[in-house]
Amino acid sequence: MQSVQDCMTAHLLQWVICHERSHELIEDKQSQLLRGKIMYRYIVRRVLFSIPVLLALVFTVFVLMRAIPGGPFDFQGARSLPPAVVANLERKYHTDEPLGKQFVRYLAGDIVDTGDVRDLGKGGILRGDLGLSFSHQRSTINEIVARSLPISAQLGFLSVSLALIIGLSLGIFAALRQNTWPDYVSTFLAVVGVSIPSLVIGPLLQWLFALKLNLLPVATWGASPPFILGFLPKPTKEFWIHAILPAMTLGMSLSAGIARLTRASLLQVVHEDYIRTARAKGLRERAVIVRHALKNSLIPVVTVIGPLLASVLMGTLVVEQIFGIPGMGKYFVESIGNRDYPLIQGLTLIYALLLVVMNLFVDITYVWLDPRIRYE
Amino acid sequence: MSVARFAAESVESSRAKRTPLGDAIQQLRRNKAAMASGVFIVILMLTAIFADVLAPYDPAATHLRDNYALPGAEYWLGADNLGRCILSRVLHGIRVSMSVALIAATVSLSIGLVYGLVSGYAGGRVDDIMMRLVDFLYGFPTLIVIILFQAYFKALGRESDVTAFVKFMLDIDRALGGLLFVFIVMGGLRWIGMARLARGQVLSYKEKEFVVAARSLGARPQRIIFKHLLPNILGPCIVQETLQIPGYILTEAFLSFIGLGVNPPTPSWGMMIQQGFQALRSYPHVLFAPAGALALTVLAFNFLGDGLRDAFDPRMRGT
Repeated sequence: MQSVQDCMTAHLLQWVICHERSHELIEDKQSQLLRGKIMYRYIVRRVLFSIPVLLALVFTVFVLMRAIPGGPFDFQGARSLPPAVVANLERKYHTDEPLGKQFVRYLAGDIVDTGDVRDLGKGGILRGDLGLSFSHQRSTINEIVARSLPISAQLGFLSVSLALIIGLSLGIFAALRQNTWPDYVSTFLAVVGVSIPSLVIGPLLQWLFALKLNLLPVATWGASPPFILGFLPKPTKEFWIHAILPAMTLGMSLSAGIARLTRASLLQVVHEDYIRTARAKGLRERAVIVRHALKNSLIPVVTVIGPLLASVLMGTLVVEQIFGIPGMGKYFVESIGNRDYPLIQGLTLIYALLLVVMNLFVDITYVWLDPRIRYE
Repeated sequence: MSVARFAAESVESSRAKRTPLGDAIQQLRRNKAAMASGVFIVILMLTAIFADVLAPYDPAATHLRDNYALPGAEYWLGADNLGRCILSRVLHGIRVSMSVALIAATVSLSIGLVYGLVSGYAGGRVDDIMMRLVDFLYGFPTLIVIILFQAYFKALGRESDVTAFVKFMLDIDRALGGLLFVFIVMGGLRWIGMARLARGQVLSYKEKEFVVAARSLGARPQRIIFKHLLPNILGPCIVQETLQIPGYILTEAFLSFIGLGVNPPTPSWGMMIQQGFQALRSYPHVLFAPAGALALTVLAFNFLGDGLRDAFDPRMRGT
């Protein structure tokens, strides 16, 4: 669990490096068109590069899961199955086949070679079929993802929104009162906020708001499939009251990180000459801050939204454990306990895919954003 | 006249005394939060070393009649579901968190430094290939992979039919309360950022005069890397590593929380939080002590890391 703040620092450094490079490139060519072309090539290269990454991850997880001693169907004691049943199960899930064959089947599905190109079989992750789970008999892994991913996404989205609202306002508030006690207090709170792990704040919030004050439900999620458009929850009261505690748990450390960054970058901007010019023109303080200072100071903040999303992705894993939310993280940890290899593989792949997309998004933002602004 | 000379002298003497390291230390001294955190961490380390002496009870000893005893004269912080003294367990839990922090940090720092130094110094094709590998690993969801490897090692530990080497490793792991693989997996997967940082630093120093001078005097690459480059890039790298330590502590706590970390009855704060979490409705006191300890430790490392960064790397100040 890399803390949000490390994540941000690392990305800022990376931003500096990557930015300096792109800056040179663009200054050399001096052409918007070329910039677009470089951008396009860059995206294509990145997408192509992520394919071997995903394949390698699939392969690693596949081998690692099969290397675990003991099969998925050897239960202990009274639950143990007769050998004939195990043999049947192994045939059903193809775990009796050689590893190589299993892997090809996992990638490409059941290959039926009838000579017809249209009849090359069905299933396989290359066709977007994650296969069957061992422990969830009633649904395929695709169905499990389809109902758990939206819940994780809702949690993540709410947390990021909450973090942005609290973080930005706290950061601006502190920066405008630089070196006064409200500034010190909110800066201190930000460090504390970054440091208090969800593992601590989650159970504490549950204890305080759910058990002591009886205001909110202790756990679980207030929305269930079918979702609007496949991922949006119905905005019922049920949904909101269940979402408050988990979103706060996940959003708090993020908001603290954003607050620190906003404060630092706004402070850097307000001492620039053009802000003095704006004031000299006689603009109202509000206009100076909102229209001139804030706009530029938000650029570093925008760049951390990407890594923020990535850390939220891992954060949902933790928060879902604490609040018993039936998102992907809960299924993932459960599947490890159940030795549900196909489900583990499928969910790992989805997590990796999300991460790849987010990283790509981050890097594109770095290149896309105004190259004149450098981090010094 | 004499005033002017005095001023000149004092400028001279203060200039003579000022070094980058001295400046940084002075800057750090002024940061009260960082200094307090440093002291707190030293106390934690001492407590970890002398936990046996300081703890009132054996952290694994169960007193079944006292299960869920409330904080009081007998158990200062109460007792958990098996009647184990929570204070003793929290004190011994420092050992787990601190050893994870130190060992995982050392492993990832060493791997990352060497990797980055070699990659940056070699340049050209070697650099390309090495950085490609880093980009490659960067696409992996680290926490997920850590969980998967831990699941694998845990399952391996339950197996009786293993090779001599694996058995040897499992014995060490058992002696460490299930921490060996946590060290290996975390250190082995968290060096990517460090490698990138080290490489970037090397690139900025590689063409500096003192390196060129050393090279033209015929120094071998190893000498240039370890004598000239390493001392220069060590500072920022250590600062960065300090900032990563909370991450290691939290990862271990989470692994123990979901049952993939230490082996019971080794007291880990993550596992204790999990126990407190289960008894939250009736006995919230089981949760408070380990949760507080975890939060305070992470807070201290964050303050220290921030202070170190502000002192050693003024460019990143305040971010």
